[in-house]
Amino acid sequence: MKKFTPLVLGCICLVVTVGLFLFINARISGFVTTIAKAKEGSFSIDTRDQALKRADILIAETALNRAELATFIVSDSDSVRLIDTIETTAKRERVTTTIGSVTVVPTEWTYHELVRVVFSARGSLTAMTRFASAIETLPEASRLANVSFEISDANIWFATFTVDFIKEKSSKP
Amino acid sequence: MVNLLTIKDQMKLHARYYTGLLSSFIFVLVGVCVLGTALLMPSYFLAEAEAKASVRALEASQESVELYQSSGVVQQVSLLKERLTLLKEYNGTQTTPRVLAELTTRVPSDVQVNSISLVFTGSGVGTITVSGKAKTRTALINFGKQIEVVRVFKGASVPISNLVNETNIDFSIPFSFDIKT
Repeated sequence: MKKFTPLVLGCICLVVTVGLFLFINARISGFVTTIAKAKEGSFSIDTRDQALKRADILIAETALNRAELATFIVSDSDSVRLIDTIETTAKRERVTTTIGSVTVVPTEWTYHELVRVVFSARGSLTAMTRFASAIETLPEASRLANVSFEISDANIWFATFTVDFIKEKSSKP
Repeated sequence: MVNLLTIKDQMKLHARYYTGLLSSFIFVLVGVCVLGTALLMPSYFLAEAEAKASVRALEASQESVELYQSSGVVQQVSLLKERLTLLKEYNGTQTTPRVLAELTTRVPSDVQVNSISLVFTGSGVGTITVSGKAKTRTALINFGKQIEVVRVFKGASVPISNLVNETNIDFSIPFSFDIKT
């Protein structure tokens, strides 16, 4: 039995050293994988970081322009002004108006909503045309969705206007 | 040469010889493995340090991005993008006066327009329906032809159903308009 002692000892040493070698090798492989993943992640994050830096500069440099753009968008406090604008324009163009409804139309926009104002008007066709023109060119971001003109027996034109206004969303995301 | 040892002793000697040989081979292998492991150690420490540095750099970049995101830059850019798109779309194009002018100047004296309805599908684009009364069939057809030649109007033709009566015809002509053409 004594003569096998070196052999057994050798086998134990071999198992231990091979195990140690494989362990170190596996750890190095693990580190290499971590480095590769970190480099890949760093690359995409750096790209995003640079894009955000550029966006930050853009936002800072366009502060005045953005403030100017915001004046074309109706805010929450401006909702009443919207009705006043329509009525003032109607008076100026010698047209009698009646506001029918003001509703918020659901859209897929994130920061804005669509306010639909329906109103009727009466007057001469010339006055009505001028009024339509004024409504279409209001400074607020808006669009005439539909309009229908109809003449009465008394030769007076009636019209129904549907105007869509862009408004800032009340609840910001 | 004659081997005077007994067969049993010879076998013992053979066994001891091969056991020794195998042990020596195993110890050589152990030595090789130890040497290999020792040679790997610098790479191990280097890789460990590099991995830690890479992870730290990644975390730093992530913090920077999070800082920008928390400052609302992304939201402000999204808001600006949406606002510019909407302002482009809702830019107040004068359409109705032009459409009405193109239409009303082409109404013959023996045709009376009672209603005009415009539905907008985009900026300066949409559909229109003109309704009224024509004294004669010929007058109505002429009116249809007058509308047809206008560049901003498309698809204007008097529906056949409107041509049943010869006189006092109630008509409704639907067509589309595009003031950009």
